[in-house]
Amino acid sequence: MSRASRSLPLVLVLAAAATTALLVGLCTAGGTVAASTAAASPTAAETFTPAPASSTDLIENADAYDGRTVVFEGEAIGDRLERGDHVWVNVSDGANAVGVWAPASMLPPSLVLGRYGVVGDRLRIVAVFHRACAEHGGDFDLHALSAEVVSAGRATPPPVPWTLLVAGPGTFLLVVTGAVRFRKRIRLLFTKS
Amino acid sequence: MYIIIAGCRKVGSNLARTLAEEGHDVVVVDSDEKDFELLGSGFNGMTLAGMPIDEDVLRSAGIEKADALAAVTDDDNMNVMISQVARGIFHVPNVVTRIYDPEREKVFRSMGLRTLCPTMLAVERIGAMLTSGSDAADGAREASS
Amino acid sequence: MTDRTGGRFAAVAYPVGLVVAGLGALQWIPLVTALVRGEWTIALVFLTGSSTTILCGGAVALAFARHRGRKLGWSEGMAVTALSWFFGMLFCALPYYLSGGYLSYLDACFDVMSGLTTTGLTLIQDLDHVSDGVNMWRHLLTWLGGQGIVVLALAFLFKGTNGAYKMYVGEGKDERLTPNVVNTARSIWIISLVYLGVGTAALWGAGIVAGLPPGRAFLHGLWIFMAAWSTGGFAPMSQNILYYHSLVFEVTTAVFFLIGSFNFALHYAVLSGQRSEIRKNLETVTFSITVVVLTLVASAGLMRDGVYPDAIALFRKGFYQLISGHTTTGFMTVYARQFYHEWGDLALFALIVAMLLGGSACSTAGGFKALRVGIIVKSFARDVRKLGAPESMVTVVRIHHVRDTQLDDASIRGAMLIVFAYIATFSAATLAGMLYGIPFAQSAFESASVTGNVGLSIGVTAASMPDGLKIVYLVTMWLARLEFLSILALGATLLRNGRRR
Repeated sequence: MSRASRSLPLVLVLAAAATTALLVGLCTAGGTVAASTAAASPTAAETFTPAPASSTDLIENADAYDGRTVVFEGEAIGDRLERGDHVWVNVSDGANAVGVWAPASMLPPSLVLGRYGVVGDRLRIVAVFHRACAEHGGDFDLHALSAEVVSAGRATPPPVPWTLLVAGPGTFLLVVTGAVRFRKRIRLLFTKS
Repeated sequence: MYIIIAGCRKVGSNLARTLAEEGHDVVVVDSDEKDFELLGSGFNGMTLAGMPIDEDVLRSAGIEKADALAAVTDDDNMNVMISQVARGIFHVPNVVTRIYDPEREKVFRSMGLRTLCPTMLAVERIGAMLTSGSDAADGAREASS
Repeated sequence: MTDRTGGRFAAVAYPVGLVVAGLGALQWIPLVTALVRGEWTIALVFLTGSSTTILCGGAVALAFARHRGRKLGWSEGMAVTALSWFFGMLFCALPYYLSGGYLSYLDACFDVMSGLTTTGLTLIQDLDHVSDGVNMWRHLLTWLGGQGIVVLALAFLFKGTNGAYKMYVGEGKDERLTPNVVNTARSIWIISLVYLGVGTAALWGAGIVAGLPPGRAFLHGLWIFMAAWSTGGFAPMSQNILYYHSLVFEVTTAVFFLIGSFNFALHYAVLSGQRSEIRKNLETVTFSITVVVLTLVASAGLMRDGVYPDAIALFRKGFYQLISGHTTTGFMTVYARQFYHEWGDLALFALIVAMLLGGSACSTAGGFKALRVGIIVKSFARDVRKLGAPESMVTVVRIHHVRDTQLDDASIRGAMLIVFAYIATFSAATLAGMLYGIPFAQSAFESASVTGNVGLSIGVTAASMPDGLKIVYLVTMWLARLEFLSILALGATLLRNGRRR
């Protein structure tokens, strides 16, 4: 038996599997798109006043909230990711951060974003929730209808504890003295025995 | 250096261990798998069971990238053949061949092989030790062991 | 002179001390990061952590330096690796704890072990406000752990190669790229460093496309590369990869964690010109087949339940988590609890199996490893074929892994034993979860994730989970990453010494 003939079945299996995957994917993809657009069409839910929802509410009851308008409150964190005339800003309510898709003008570059040493702007966002957004590759996201800053972000410079001020240089000094005191024996460690 | 050692008896195994501990890439080839036990546990190199004159075996041992080869099997004819394959076909830059038989050693040295004859070495050394009785010869023996 | 027992530990203490001191020196990388970013408190944290680690490790190394020439036996060589990981964890957790990001020292240790074993589960508090210094340390740990900290020490720190092969095997890698394992260790690091350059550049670009400012894009690119290559799964933001909302970014990460899950021997063969190795290697063939089959199963499950609206979503959510799980990376573009609420049994089953199967042997990935799976399947097929063949017929199993080899019973037995150990560990961790009241499916999922050093979570792992379960998961990660042997060897040594007294 030659090597080629032995690996042939494997190649065939792979090819067959890949084609089936592709076919099944294509067929059903069409089907589910139709189904989901039907589900997303306005229902009685639209007439409610938007209900406040936390990220945990949204994750735990995603199906119930899917396609509904909700009020989400949290801190803008990280970065403002520009995509043409829209932006992504991730908003964290403490438990989870959720991506908010908004027109660039709604969340302007002046937005204060939370990161180390900075508490970001606290936003109240009225948005349509998508459990698996068809527009954004199945993302779990909020499409903002309006956004307002509830409380402005600010810098929160972390304190420098005196214990660290002592411990850091102190231990470092010990390392340096140790290195000088034992330099001969240390050099010996890095020569071949 | 990438070194191939053909033959894993007393000389081959000790040579392999020493070179590996010095940090060289060592591959030992021997037709008898049992001989690899002489290398001890956790040998820091590769072992390959197979006839060292077989080109495919030598190829799997990585002879194409080898810098040196030592032919130290117990069979003089085999050693000569290995060396000729290594030099002629794979162009290994540095090939050392062990030949027990002094007569044959002379012949192959004249053919351009780098050879070593332990028989003649022993003859010279033992002769020196017997005749001079000096410590110098003893010291040399200890250093070489 | 010391007695035999004392002597045994003395010979082990020296290299362990040296590895720990090395880990202390490496804390200067986050220290410099913190200084550059003006994070003064964090810089002090790392100065304290680094100096303390160097002092302790260095003192032990110096004290036992005279035992350096002693030959290490198998159990000692392996104990070096197991103990290096254990003490390395204790000391690497110091800056984590001092930075104030953890509720307890155990949580900090859990995160170090998760990082070093390239798992990627995390107990850190408020990740979105964590400093660049600490993030550098998290990702550096996961990157170092992927190649192996003992491999690192072998490559650059230890002089002389006494016991090198034993330590190397102890760290869950047993292949040689070059005959000498010290040169092998160097090659592994050179390959990783080359990819570090390429990958950081690619993810830097992808980050800019995703909308990050160039400076942040560079840091995120570097960190995400480190986590992708080592099949780790950490990310600097709490939403993991979902944070970037970018197809380009997701595909780029997938490329690098896929490459990272390949065997270093395969990398070496391909980089030295044997391109065809990618197609022929038993491991890549096995991996491709399991990926295709499991993708089909997961997709069938997700489509039947209509979880995702279209093919793109199915790719970015379904396939991405599956391949992330199969390579044991653990990058996520969904929330942990979405697995539980939305995925359905069929897709979860496929994902659990994928996580257990894992990537390639001698790579940064975890799990059973494709090579073992391939060997077991091949030998099983041989035995079945034998049943129908005349008794006198001699059958041999040939596999192609870098070179053609004939499988002997010893290697089949070895593969089966390790796979069995993984299954036993997985079962034990699942059981432990259930003892703490976690439902079966969730416990199995999380346990597969720790056993395969994956890092996908269904929501069990949280700072609020019981300490006992944290310890179970921590030990499971440690056992699985080192592939059992070295820790068992350490246990056996301790037991033997205990009994002799």
